[in-house]
Amino acid sequence: MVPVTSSSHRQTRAAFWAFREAGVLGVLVVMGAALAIATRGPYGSTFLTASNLLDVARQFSFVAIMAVGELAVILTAGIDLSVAATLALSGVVMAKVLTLPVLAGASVAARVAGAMLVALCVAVAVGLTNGSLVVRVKLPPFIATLGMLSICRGLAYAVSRGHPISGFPDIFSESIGHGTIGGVPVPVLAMAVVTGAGWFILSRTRWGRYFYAVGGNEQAARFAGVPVDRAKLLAYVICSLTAGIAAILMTAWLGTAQSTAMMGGELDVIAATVIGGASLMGGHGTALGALLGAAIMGVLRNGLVLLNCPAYYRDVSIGLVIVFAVALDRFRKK
Amino acid sequence: MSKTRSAVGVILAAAVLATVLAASVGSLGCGRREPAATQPPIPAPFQGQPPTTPAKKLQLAIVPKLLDNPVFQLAAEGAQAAAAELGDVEVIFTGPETADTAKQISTIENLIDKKVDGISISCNQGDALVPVINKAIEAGIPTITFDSDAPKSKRITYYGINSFQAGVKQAELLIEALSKMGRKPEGKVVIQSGVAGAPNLEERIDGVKSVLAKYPGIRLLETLYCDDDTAKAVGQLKDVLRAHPDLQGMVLVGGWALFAKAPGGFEDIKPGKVAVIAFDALPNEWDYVRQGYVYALVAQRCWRWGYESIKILHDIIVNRKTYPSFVDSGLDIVTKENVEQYAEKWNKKQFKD
Repeated sequence: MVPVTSSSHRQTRAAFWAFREAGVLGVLVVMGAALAIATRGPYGSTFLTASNLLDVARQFSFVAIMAVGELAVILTAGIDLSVAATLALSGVVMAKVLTLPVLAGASVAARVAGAMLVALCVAVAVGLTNGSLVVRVKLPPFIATLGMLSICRGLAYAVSRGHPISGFPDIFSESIGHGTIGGVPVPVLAMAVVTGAGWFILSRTRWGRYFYAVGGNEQAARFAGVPVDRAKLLAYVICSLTAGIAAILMTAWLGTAQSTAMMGGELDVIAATVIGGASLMGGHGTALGALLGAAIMGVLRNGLVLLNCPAYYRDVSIGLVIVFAVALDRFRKK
Repeated sequence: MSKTRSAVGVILAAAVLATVLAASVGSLGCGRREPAATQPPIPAPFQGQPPTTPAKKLQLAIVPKLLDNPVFQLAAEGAQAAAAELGDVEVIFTGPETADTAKQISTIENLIDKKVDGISISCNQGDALVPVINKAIEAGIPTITFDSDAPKSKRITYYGINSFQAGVKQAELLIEALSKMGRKPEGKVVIQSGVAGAPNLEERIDGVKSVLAKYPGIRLLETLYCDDDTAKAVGQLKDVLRAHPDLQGMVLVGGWALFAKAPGGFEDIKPGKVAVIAFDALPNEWDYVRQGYVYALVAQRCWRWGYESIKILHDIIVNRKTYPSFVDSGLDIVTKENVEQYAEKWNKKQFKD
């Protein structure tokens, strides 16, 4: 082996990460091919139709968007269990604002824009709280975000009194929820944009490198002058922000906001990130991987319905894929 | 470098293995996959044309609010019985594991993409399901609802009960129970429901409230929502009984708390202390009636939800029959007087009378 200089070391590592995504991409392609063949019928393959593929993409877009945000936190060797609860809270508060009789006089566009802004602000507030609990109060991320999970669900329940809130202006549900641009559903485009932004921040900006550094070796990063505390705070804010974005898209698509939205969804988000190659120890993972992880779970769920599989085996299959991805991760570390 | 090559090898092997694993688990329980019917999509409206017989088996899907509820498992049995009678139907019973509206919509979208021949849905939220139901209808798939309707959608018919009237019946039975206990129609009453905002449940609650409002002595404390979760429902019963030892009556607009073994949420009180009227009459619930904790059960015909759904869909597809907007399934009332008869009919699976 050639003596390693710092730049060739980085090159080897970059090549290694590319290989990691290739693995996940490979799994996805093989699954897709298998499904395309298995669902062949007199009208062609039901899996490979444009409408099915776009439906599947939209179905996993919410998890994918949040998985990119969750990746930022996982990179710093932290975890955010409150993402789904944040989505529910943002959604419910936004719905309340959208349907407030007091604001009925304002223009529809202003109301929709204002409500969306409120949703993002709520999400950012949760992210700041999570980050502060981890960085200032020095709580373990698991505990801090577990507590926030309950708080957010509880607040969502309190705000909505348990009832789903609906009655949004048509333009909101139609253009954002069910709208398409060039035939592609808006949430799918949002997923692409968020993943692209995630890739850019993580691989091309200073703060992205800080996330990897903090997760790789926090002490060393601190000594190297990396602003560890601020990096962690930023990671939690990014994570909750993606939950806010997903909240807007999901609420627009459903036409209602519920305090029970995405119950247990945080596990799907973390699973997507991990299947996509992130390590829960921190320091490894890519935005594209997170998207592919969500895609694998979404395609698997869709495939099992297309194949007439009893719904009971769905979760078993997904669990097996998660276990496998983590086992692979450990294997790779050797 | 040997390290990279082994890494590639590991990843590729893992990728293949992961897919094989997922696919084999996925196909573990899968039945024979019948190809989709060779008929082209049925044009709307589904009436007027001469009847046709399908060349292959019809794939009809039943989508409950959630899988983890015995009333829907009973509906699945009814559906299978109808399929066995008809001979040319394959039943697909699928839905979300918990009462999750988004997951239910996703499941239905997948069924549409799969081009099933008919769908029958019990809606978690009637309004939220309107777009996907309309999408199914526009794709040429006859779609009906059962148990919980989506009235604003283009669904062909709704098979179930008039939920408001069912609630009225429950409240009337509560007054009857109180009078049989020698009490006046007054005091604290509590309602327990499942998922807030589910239209069928909200209508039942409205029905109950409409009758209770006629009795000024009755004070409705609150409506508890258990999210269709039995453990939560039992906990809520215990909490409310502890908080209000002078509680007179309870109306459970669904049977969730009674799916637990008797006495369940009532273990801290004596039978007959509180007048309880519940909904649905599944086997676990009979003990509550036998032991005196529950005065009466207002039972939906859950087995028939599945049975009639298949029959109706089959009729629409094969015979182009038209249906009114509402097909009433009717209700059964189960009390101490007739619980053994009801149990016997149940055990003999005599649901069809």
